[in-house]
Amino acid sequence: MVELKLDSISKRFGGRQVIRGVRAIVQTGETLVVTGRNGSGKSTLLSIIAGVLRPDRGSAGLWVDGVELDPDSRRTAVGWVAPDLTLYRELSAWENLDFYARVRSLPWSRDRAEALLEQVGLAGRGHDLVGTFSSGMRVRLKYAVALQCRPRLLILDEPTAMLDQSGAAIVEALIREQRNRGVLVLATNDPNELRHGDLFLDLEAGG
Amino acid sequence: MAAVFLKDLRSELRTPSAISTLGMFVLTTTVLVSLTVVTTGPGLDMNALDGAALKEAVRTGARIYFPGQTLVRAQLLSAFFWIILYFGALTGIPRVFTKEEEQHTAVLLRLVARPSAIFAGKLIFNVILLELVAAAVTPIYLLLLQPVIARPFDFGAHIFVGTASISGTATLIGAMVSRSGNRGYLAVILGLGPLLPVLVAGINGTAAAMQGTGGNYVLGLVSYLGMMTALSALLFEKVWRD
Amino acid sequence: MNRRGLAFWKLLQGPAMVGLTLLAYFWAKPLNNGFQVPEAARIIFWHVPMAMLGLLWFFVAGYHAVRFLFGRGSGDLRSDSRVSFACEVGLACTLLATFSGMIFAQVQWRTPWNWDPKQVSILVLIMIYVAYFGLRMSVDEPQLRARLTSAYAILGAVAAPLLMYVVPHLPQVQTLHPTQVLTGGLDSKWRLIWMGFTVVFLGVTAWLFELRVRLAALEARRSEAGDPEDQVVVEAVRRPSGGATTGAAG
Repeated sequence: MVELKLDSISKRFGGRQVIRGVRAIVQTGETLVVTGRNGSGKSTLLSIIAGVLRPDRGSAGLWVDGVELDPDSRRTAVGWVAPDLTLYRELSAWENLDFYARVRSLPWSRDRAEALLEQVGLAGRGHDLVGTFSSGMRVRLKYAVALQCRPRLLILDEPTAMLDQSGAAIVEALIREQRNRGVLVLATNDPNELRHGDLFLDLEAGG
Repeated sequence: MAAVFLKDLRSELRTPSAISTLGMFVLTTTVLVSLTVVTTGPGLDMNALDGAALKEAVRTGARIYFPGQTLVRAQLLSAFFWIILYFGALTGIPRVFTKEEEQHTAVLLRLVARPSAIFAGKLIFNVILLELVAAAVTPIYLLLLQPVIARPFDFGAHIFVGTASISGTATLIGAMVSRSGNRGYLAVILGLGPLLPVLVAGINGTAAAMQGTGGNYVLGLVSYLGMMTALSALLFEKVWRD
Repeated sequence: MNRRGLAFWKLLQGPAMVGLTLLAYFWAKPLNNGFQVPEAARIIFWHVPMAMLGLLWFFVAGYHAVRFLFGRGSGDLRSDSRVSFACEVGLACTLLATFSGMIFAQVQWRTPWNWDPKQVSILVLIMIYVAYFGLRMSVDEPQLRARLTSAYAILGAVAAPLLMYVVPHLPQVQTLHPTQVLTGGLDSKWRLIWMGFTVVFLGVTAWLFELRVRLAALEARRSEAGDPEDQVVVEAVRRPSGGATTGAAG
């Protein structure tokens, strides 16, 4: 049982109120879709939900089986894919996965890494440096990193940007899969992706 | 912790960033200092020839050796060494953090890694990096500036401990700088206050080791290193986390 | 903060300062032990308290920085402004100590600046706190700025006493500053006036600090009054087909 509670979140940056009083409760199997034009605070809100940015007011609590997770447990409970999150270019795909698994203290094996790479369509490319990857392949690898902890909360920022059709199909399957695992937060401006949502948050609604 | 260290080591070996900034700075300044600074002659060398004899020696092109040195010369050479190391450290060490920010890998790292593991991993990386640079530059420095060293063990001990002290504090300063707007010169200014005691102890310690006079600051440096590293570890989480 | 308006200790400061100045010139006799110009020995009354108070205010800054980072109300930006106000007062004191010291150095050692270890130490101390304000200016986000600068203020508060009192007394470092004047060489009149000045300057700087804190509180109240923030609530809406269209929160 996973529950994401956003309670009156506000955040200002350099005198400008970016997010004001955002509220939502999302439960296992549900998807929250966040919309709003560029600069409306989507990415900021996602950082707050992920737990790496502290809001000025309010809170973003992640509850698993009735217990609120502290920052330390969030490390292994949150998967996050966003255009402005980057993996290490000078490491190979396999080394990237290995590094993130180790800092998250996840049980890890070569087989699991290969399985993940296959799931995101990068089978056989584990030894290549990320720097040599195309932008679509990098996005796929980000999905592999996000999935390696079997996230209770998955945060996707513009999930299909940069991806081709087969990539979009993988994301589609992943979004369905997340319904059994926990909560999904999806930030997008693509009308096509609105169909995934159970709850909708329009950041421009407040003006 | 080991994961962070190994990741930094691997990425540093593939695309040198900190070592190139630091190493090149330290090497070029050492060579530059040795080329341009007079370190011998009356007042600097206790066996130096007086004015007229010196002129004659220069005119005939005779080589001047350094059979002895004064305290002034010892302190001058020590000061050069530590100043070079200080500026090298505070331009190179912040690279381990600014690189994460510039490549946008820092945010994900903030989510997935324990702050203590990041601090420990980066600290070990920085200490080894700066010790290697010190170990590489010391022979060059000895060769080019030819100081007479009465107590080589003390000389080396001061460099070893002082270098570790500098990396400990510089790691925290690097984390601060990487999160602030201007990333370049601020570290050098921020580091001076907390590191001046290290520099003073280091300069006096290596100068005393050259001269063979009293003055051993290794113990003081070790305790300062311990104190500053503990304090940095405590403050790091506040600087790193949002 | 004082609710009664003018407090007794503030009213007392003016007469106390005048009285102490008169005593310093007419009651205390010039000192001959080691001073080039015996009259110039009165430097002790202003210079020494300023150096000590500078350090004290840097400790106050460090205390508020610890409260901001680790205290119960951690993250409260009012603690952060206290850190910066204490640094301002401390920096003013150290600058005054430096300038008064330079005037004395001109009389005593015939040069305003001779790179005496204590002069170097206080210069580095000034640089630490100039760097503190430099760091403040280079970060826009208030919480991040507060955390970075508080961490630095703690480093500064640890380094400051070392710079002022340990480094100048290392065996190989020779200072021209008298080391025993205050502990042994002063007669009771001098000691009394010196202590009086220290107390009065402590009061003046504390008053300065308090005014800064009050001013900041007023400014914060004014900007809050004109700020419509948090009036707006953006609430997630359920998909119409999925049941009610009411908010999901509640």
